[in-house]
Amino acid sequence: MDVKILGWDTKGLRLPDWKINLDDNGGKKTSLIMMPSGMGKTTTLSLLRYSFCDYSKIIEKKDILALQRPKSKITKGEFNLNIKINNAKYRIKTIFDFSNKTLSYKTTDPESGQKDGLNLPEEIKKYLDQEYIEKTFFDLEVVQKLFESTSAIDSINKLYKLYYFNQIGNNLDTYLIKKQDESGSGKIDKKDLIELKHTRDKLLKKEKQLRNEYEINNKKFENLKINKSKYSKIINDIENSKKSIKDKIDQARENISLAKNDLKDSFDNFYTELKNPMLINKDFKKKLINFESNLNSLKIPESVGKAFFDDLIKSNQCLCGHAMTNKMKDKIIKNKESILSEDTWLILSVLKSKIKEDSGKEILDLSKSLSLIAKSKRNLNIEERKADEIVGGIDDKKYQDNVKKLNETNDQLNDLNKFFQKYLEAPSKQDTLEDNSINKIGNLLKITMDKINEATETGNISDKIKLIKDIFKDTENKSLNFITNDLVEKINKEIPRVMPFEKIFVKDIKDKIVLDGRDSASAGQLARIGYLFLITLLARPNFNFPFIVDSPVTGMDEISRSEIATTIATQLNNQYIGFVLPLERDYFADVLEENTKNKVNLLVAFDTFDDETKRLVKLAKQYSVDTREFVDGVVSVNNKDFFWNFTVSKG
Amino acid sequence: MSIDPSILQIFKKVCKDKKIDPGFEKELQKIIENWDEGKDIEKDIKNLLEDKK
Repeated sequence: MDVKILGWDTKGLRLPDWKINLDDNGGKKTSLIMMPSGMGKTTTLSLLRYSFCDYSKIIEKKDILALQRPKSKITKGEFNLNIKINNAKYRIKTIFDFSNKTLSYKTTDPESGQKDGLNLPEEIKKYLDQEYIEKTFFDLEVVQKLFESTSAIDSINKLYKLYYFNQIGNNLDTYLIKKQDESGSGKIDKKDLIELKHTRDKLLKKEKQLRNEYEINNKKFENLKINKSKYSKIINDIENSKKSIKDKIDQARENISLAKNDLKDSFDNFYTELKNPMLINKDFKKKLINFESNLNSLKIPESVGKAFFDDLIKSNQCLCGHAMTNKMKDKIIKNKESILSEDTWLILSVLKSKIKEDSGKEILDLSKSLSLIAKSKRNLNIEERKADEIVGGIDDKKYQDNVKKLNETNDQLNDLNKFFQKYLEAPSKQDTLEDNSINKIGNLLKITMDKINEATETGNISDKIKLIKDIFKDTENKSLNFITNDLVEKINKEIPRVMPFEKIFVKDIKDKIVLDGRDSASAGQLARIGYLFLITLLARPNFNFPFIVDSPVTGMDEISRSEIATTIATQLNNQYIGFVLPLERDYFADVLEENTKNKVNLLVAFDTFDDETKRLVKLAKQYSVDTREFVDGVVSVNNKDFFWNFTVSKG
Repeated sequence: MSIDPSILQIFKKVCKDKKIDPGFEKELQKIIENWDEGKDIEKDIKNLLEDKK
């Protein structure tokens, strides 16, 4: 399945009413659209995302209003996207109603003409959910997430359709439930079966609700972690910029660390003392010594005693020289029962030696250890308060805001951690429907399903489903292993090319991308690895979908830019559209051109909403660009001179 | 069929390792393929689960 974007036009939005045409005839699969900052790169990326999967129910009202042209009375806007799917042309109209804050679609396809709704072929609809679109139409934040969250493994699951196994498994479960509901009560009372089915439905609902909550919380958690590192970095930068404050904070943190160690030591010490009850109470010590001396007068161990008494019974006379009578033999047989067993004897021996060892030691004063704990805790509180005072005393709004945000983020992360802990709690006998553990609910569901299967005689179907799910799980795990190993191998093969000076290899992909021998790398280095990951991933499945990137090389050095361009030109089979700033042009656009033999669409687009842009219009005219084609914007397509000489700065 | 062929190979290997009946494996593969093509799989599921073999 091959999907290609041919172009788009906009009407009544915050972007100019213009038309962007990506020349499809010249076999150019790569396009760079250069726009000055703040002129709609991110907005266009959002509009492209909205066109490929149905956002009408998930888009937030604020995101619709963000597309409205400022100070405009226009109540409706539209974005029209022209695409080609396996050589058939489609037009997707996304309509934004700013009065009602809604979004709707109309689709024109070659067979049925224009119809309401987003009507793409079923086969591509399966891929195109919000998550997939946000992976393939991305900015550098998405690349960053590949190293911080479960985003890398999620992408693999999505692109390789490993989630199919789970979806088919759900269909099998639905079939089983349908069969259970169709069957009679069979072995149990009808009322009891109804009750069981009622419980089953509640458990299924609860299971679904918990999984949804987990998904949402997991995403929240990943975003919070990213925010946390963002706030921490700002705080660190400000602290480092104010050296005297930094020294004070460093000292305060050092003191907190020492106080924490003291507190830990005093707890350890107290615990060691508690482990020796003989030395914490005089009376107890006396009793234990007494116990030990009594043990000495007790019986000999079984291994020694049993053989001795057996021999004695067989002999003709006792040890004392008296002739052995039957009455004496009976007495010995009866009394030998009281010999200690070997196990008991071993335990008592350990106790005996420990009591003997400690009997000479002095009784400990526990109150001293307790006072030490209280003192260490007090010291820690004082040091923490001092640190808070230093931080609170920094007269910097940005700093305080970020400290506040960081504290709030930490609280939210703690709450989510509690949720995850509960979510993973193991089943027990006391579990109820009110529990929030997926394992507990799963176990209750299994018990209920087993009972219903028995009553409705659907056990055979249930067993088959278990077997199929087992096959699927095994296939999924082995496939994931195979794909990640293959990806790691392919990425690492390219590393010497994209990182000629400092090679950073990928060790594994376990949820996120794990680097070999290091925790992180610079933004440019991570971006190069992230690009390799996404390109390698996108190049594999039999689904050729455009790759759209907002500000693809922003903030990167010359090597990173040119190596990313080489990767796009030589490794990516999919259509590539990059929204670039003029600053990103050098060492990127030229390398792309060189490596694709000039098969790159070079576009420049800017709005003419305010007087500031008059200079840009003048510049466009100098390069023979038609500046009258659109009322409030200018688009230049494949005017290379203009592309290379376009500059936003006045100098 | 657009599911990655390497995954199908792994699926076949898993079925072989688990000594799954070839007929059962074939029907199961058909379900995966139909799901991949966006077809309704309820009838296939019924055939697979209710086959008395």
